[in-house]
Amino acid sequence: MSKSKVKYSSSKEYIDESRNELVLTEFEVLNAEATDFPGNHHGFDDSWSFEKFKKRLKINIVRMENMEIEFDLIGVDPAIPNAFRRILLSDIPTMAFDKVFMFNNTSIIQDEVLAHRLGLIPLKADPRLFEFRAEDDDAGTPEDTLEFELKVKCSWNPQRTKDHTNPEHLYRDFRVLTSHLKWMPLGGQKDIFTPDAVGPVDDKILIAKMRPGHELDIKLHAMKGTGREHAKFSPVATAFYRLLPQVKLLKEVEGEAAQRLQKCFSPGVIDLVDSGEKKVAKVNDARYDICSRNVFRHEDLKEDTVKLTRARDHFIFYIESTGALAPEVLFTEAAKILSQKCRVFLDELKNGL
Amino acid sequence: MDVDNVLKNTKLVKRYLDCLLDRGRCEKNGKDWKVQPVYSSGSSAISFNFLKISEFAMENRRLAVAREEEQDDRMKTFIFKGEGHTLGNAIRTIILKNPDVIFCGYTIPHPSENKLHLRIETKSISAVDALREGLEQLQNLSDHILKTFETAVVDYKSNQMEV
Repeated sequence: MSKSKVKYSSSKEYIDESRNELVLTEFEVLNAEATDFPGNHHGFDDSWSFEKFKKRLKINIVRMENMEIEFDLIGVDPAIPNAFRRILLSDIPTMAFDKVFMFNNTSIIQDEVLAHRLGLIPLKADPRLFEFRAEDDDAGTPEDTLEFELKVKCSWNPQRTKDHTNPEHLYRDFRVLTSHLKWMPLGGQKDIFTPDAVGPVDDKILIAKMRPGHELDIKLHAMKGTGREHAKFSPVATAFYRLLPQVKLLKEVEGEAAQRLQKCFSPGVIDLVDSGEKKVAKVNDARYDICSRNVFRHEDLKEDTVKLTRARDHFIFYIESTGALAPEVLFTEAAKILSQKCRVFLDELKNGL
Repeated sequence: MDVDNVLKNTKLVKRYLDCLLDRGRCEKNGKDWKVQPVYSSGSSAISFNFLKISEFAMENRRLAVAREEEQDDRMKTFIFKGEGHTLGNAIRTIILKNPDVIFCGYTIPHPSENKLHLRIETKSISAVDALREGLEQLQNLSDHILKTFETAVVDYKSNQMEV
């Protein structure tokens, strides 16, 4: 279905569609750009009104787990979810190892590589309870620093026998894991935090492998930072959104063609229902369709059979946390940061330009 | 300042450049003069114009107006220090929803300079008012999304409890 082949009964229908839906055709996506600004469409009031926005906005949590959340954000311009996504990736601070003091490293992994690996370990410490460290401060204070120690020495297992070849039996402490990290409370931190509340998200993350005689003696400073500075500070594994897919059957498809049609979509999108002797295709739920547009590969199904669209203002938002903050907390933090960005510049305007 | 004389002295030019590009220390003259790109309409060439920006002289200010000598209140280019596409696109979209605004667009003139230029042209209200309105609307929007999201989370949790 190329652009010229999309049929409309009236220009109103065309305008309504271009305002509400993206149309997926065989070779292109139509209506990709937003046009709902005042003066663009005759007979539509596109000016901003908070009351109108309040009525349109809907948020619906679909799935919420320890590390992941999926929710619908309905009735906003694409710029808004994108701002939230960008804030989640690079503006929400977390704690991560930023200063690594190597006293001894005789393992085969180089100092700088090891320091980088350590930096990437996600920590559970709540960044909201810490300050950013001043740029000229090297020592750190209890308000802005978490100190950890990593002292591991690999040795032979005294109980090994000659025919052992498995490193599990041959050596002790040959795997350096996050569980080897020891928290060293600074100042009064002992009274505020527990080792479990500030330590690594998982205690089985592999840091290095060693052999007997290899040794690590390291002091680490975890500091507050944002993903803008380094990706290790990003609080999310991924944060993304997609538009709600919609599948419309324009005519009845039955029998063998219906089975082919079903296979063109993700599982659960098309159902086959009994209708007399034959099976007829019916749209069940298009939400989890991957929008492959495979249906356009079939000559008999590509013309006037299905219409694939996506809702313009229905965003399915996914956030996967790295573990420092719960995913729902991350989104509330993102909203607070966007609001704060506006406040900063409103204050600047108040002070005069 | 005698520009010709300064340009003859390579050492001095280097020192001014270091100051302007934040690579080194600034002396009194260097501090007063800061580099700022100016777009000449009609040609795609970007010429660098040595222009005095008194606003940024105060180090902690984050908002300024480009080309202050242009007197028209209805057309202004604002410079946001330390902002990017996150705020830029959101604020552009919301300002464009204002029926009085003829043009609103943003650009990040150079990727290694952490600055956002936002241009607003209006029919009757001043560009500063359009910007203020846009910021207020965006702030209200984000506060409302926060409130709605928190209610949705509470609802979801209570629903899960019932199940």
